[in-house]
Amino acid sequence: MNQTMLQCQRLTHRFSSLGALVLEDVSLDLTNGEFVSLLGPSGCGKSTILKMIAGLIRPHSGEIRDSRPVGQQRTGYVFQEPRLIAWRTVQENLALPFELSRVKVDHDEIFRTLDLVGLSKSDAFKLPHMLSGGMKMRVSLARALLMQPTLLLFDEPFAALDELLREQLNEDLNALWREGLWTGLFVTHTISEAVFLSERVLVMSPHPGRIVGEFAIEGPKVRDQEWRNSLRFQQQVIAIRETMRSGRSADQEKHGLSQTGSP
Amino acid sequence: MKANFIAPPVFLVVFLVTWQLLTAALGVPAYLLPAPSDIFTSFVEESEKVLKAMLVTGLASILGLAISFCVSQVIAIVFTLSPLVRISCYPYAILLQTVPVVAIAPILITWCGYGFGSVVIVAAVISLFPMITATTNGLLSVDAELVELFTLYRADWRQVLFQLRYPHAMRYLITGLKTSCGLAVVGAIVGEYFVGHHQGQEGLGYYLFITSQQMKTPFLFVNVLASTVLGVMFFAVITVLAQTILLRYYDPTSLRGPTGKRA
Repeated sequence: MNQTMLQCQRLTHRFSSLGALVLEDVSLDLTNGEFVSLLGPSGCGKSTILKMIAGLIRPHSGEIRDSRPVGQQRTGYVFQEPRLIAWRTVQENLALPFELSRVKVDHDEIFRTLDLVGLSKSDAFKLPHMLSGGMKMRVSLARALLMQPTLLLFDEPFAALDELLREQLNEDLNALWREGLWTGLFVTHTISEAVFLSERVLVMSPHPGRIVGEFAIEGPKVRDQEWRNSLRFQQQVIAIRETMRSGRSADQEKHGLSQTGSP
Repeated sequence: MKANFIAPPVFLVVFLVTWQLLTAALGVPAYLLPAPSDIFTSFVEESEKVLKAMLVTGLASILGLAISFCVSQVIAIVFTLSPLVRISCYPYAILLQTVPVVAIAPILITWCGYGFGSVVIVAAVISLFPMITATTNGLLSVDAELVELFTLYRADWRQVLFQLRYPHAMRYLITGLKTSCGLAVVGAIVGEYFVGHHQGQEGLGYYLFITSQQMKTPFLFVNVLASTVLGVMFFAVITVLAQTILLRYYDPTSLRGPTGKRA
């Protein structure tokens, strides 16, 4: 089980062929079944890495090696916004992955997955605008979970939700991961969210985006409110924050004073 | 604001009565400004002529709109699929919208001859550009991440176009169609104005021209009213049609999905 499923090697990317560096020499490995967070401030290229892994962007240099066996290379993607199709009901939105992949729609799986993410059967016939923000995000999660993905990519999915809802969804996501058979790569700029969910946190710094630290999170398998309140959790949040702060002040010395000129 | 069903008709009656009384009291000759009663008499006398002219002009407008609709969709799809073509040609599509009908009608008639066909072509050319720009805007304004979602599930360009871009563009398309249906009627009338008389194919534009030449002002007014009614009818039909389509896509109370099947 503990084998590498995906290797990103020295990914470098620019906005255009001569433009500013977005990513510089980013290397990361994902092991089967783990949950990893990419943590960094806005604009450090976290989402770009996700899109490269999903095959939506090609890196200017570097390589992504997918060592998943053929037939098990399905990747699910959860966007920052729910990104549901407005004119399709929940059920029809969930049928979309099947339709686009030209596979027969498995309605049993759709209903099972709806149940898994905490939605009821009656929600299946609603249109997205009839759902609350949290419910929309759950549908979006369900969509990514369909068709047995082996890798799930999360692009700050809960950033727009209020804090309590976000905590609830983090707990639910952890449960989904424990019960599922997929590997998770979660992008966020919130330290506590990364520590709460992950086994491993990769810290990134911007201009250009690169990985500046890696933290193995020591925590229980089940991540819940108790974990969030524990001293161990707090200590690891503080440790990561310190690393990010020192990286940030170094970054400001290098860029901020000479370029922006403002204190 | 609530619609008032009493005040506007009352105003109309007051307006018509004042008009009638003033023309009589001031002795205004009918060839300058016919009284409402003169117009009505003229309509009764020549009703067959007017109704037939409305039919001829209406048919030319419908055919013109049908042609321009089909052509605009092909052009909008090409613009959507090929960025190179779009960048090269789109500015002209916007520019050509501003060319006045009256200016190009004689050119089109020179090319296509004095006949019903030319009238249809003028109606088509005039109503073409709003639909090109509206449809292209709609097709291109789809959320980029939804396109990425489709790409992730290996959708082909047809699925992206017809399952994502077109349903999204429906509102834009309908706005364009509403603008264009009025223009098609204007185009048909202007076309007839220049083409003139064609063996039993006298449309409203022809009568507008001939009656103004012959100082048959009451009949001229009848034709102006008939043109207005035709335009309103056209707009009403398109609006009702549009509402039906939009309801199908967006109405939360409707249980029908876009595919027409019950969810």
